[in-house]
Amino acid sequence: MSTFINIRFFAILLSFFLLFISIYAVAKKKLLEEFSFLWVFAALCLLIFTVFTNFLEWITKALNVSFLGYTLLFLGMTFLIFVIFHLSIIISELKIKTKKLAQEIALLSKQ
Amino acid sequence: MTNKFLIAIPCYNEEQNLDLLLSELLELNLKADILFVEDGSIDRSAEIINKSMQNSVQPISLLKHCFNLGPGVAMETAFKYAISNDYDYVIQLDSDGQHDPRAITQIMNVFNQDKTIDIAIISRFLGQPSYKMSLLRKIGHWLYSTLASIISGQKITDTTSGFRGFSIKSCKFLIATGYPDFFPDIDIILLLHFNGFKIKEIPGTMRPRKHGKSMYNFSRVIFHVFRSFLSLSIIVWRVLSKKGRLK
Repeated sequence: MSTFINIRFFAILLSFFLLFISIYAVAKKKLLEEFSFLWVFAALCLLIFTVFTNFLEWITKALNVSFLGYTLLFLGMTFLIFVIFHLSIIISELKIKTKKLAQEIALLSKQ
Repeated sequence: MTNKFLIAIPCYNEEQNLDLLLSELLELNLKADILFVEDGSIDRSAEIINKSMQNSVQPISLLKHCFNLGPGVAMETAFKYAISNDYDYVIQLDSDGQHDPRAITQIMNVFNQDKTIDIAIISRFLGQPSYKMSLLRKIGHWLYSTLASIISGQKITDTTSGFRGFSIKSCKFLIATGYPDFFPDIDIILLLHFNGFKIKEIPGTMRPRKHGKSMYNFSRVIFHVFRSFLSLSIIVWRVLSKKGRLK
């Protein structure tokens, strides 16, 4: 129980830190708003799950897991998998656009 | 000395609305140049604009993005074009036909009569508004305009109007600070206000869209709300930390 309270405390700290760093990065123009949406959403979800453990308990029972912290870990990993996949799609789009730009520049410089 | 105006029209897949828009614009014979920024359309928008360029007496220019970058980027491109071609004012007009081009003269008059005005916005909610919208959109607009008015200390009734004019000084500022790719609305107005640019609203109306679909679907509306409040929070924090003007 004390282990869970410790994790809970750090999870709340992490969610506030994530929220702050996302907004700060947007303010400093290091992060585009469209990407900050994901991290702000993640921070808020983490905060809600950590403060209102009823949701977490329900998911833990549904997944047949013994410890609430493992559920949080599982949800976090699932989220990261989706983020990485989403970033792969963005990188693919950027690669296509870069190719198109390079071709346009080549054709323009020839004219 | 007469002011040099540029009417900037960002355009994305509006082949069904362009013919009517062009005929309305050219009929007015305004003392302004027209610039279309075609944002990577996959329909015949560029072809229609090119055809009108060949047949028109009024100067029409076309800039083409090689892929879709968003309406904010298209306007930023228009600002850069206006700056490099020594225009004094840029008037933004939507290409979906919802903005009546006759109101352009009202914007031009505001700038011609008062050189201290930097931004002139056609407001759908000033005077006796006849613009109809759903309850949810009404609540959203009311919330935005109330927030903008409270934060700026100036009555602002329409924060999301895409029918507005900018002085070249404000265009340079917006490029320097970074114009948002999507939905540059309430945050842009407040950013300009807190940096000493003067804003004036003019009563006007908006027509219903005749053809095509609005770019606002459910997910974009959610992102629009999120982005607006995030940008607003950042602006308010900066103003409070610097106690007033941002510069």
